[in-house]
Amino acid sequence: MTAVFVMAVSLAALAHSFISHCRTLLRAVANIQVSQNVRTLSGLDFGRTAMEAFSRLALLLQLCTPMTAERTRELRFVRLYCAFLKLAGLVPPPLLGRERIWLQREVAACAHFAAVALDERISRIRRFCEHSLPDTLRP
Amino acid sequence: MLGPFDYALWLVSFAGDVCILVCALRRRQFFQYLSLNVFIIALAVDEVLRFTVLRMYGFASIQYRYLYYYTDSLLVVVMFVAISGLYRHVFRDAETAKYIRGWAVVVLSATSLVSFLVIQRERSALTTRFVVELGQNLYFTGVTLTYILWLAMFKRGEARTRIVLIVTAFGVFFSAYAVTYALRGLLPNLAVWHVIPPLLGTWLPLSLAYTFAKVPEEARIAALDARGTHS
Repeated sequence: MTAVFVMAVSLAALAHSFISHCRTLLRAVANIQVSQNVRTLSGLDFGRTAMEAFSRLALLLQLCTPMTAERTRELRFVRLYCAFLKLAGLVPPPLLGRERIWLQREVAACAHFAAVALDERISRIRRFCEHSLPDTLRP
Repeated sequence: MLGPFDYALWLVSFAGDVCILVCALRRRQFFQYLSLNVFIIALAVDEVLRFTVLRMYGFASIQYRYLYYYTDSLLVVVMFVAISGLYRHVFRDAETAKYIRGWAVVVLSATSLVSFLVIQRERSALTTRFVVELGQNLYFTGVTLTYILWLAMFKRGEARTRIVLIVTAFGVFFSAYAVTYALRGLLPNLAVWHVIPPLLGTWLPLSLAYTFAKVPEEARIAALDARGTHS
């Protein structure tokens, strides 16, 4: 009985701490501006939903191999958090009131995080090309 | 017998510990987060000890079991001290700051007293389920302490990214361990219990290393609305 109680309380605390941790990671980059190129790539400027933009950015991030371990670990968390939000979004609409708006805002924050990560990777690769490649091979 | 997985986990955890200490020393913040850094040193020493005993005697040996559970209990107590240090950070400008040290001593004494009483009562069962139950109690106390700290942060609208990340990292760590211990009590024969604790053990050094290496002291949670972030 004690084990069940401990498990229930701890599971709730685990879910809550995990969400708080992910939200803090998302808010830490909220003020970073994303370049127009990445905004265009994400499709956010063309009326895509935040979830679609996130999926697209996640694919682009896979194509754009990181040169260092920058934001790789956090991206895993954000992916997990986004999957959780997607799952929460499956709850029938009558049961979700204002929470749906909150979910959309959180998915948008995840998309922004992915966009910032992609932007950083592209910038790093550009810098690398500028400094390391001979003139003839530069893009 | 140790496999590549065990070596990799050990290496990652130890590298995380070293990274935290190096960051703290290089940025001259060792004494600012003294209790946390003392905990990290204890964690690193514990990892080296466990690894050595594991290599010498093997996973199923009685030496390793004793070392694992007793160092684990000691480490949780050091962790409580680290959390009380975090309480002082959160309440740094408040009148309550001076009471926190006192409360930390009371909580530690109470935990030690309860543990001592249980040991006295169940001395014959030391090698059986007692150590597991003691671990469960300690981690559950850790969950409670961390959760109270989180609530205090929420009420005070704490916006320091570093502090929030450290507290939530502790929250994930303690609650995941408490869930593991509780599930282990319910389903003791699953082989997966040999893998999960070492995996969880890497979470704390890694998340703290990330926080100290990447998040500057002056970073604040953007778009705050701190309450919105924490809720």
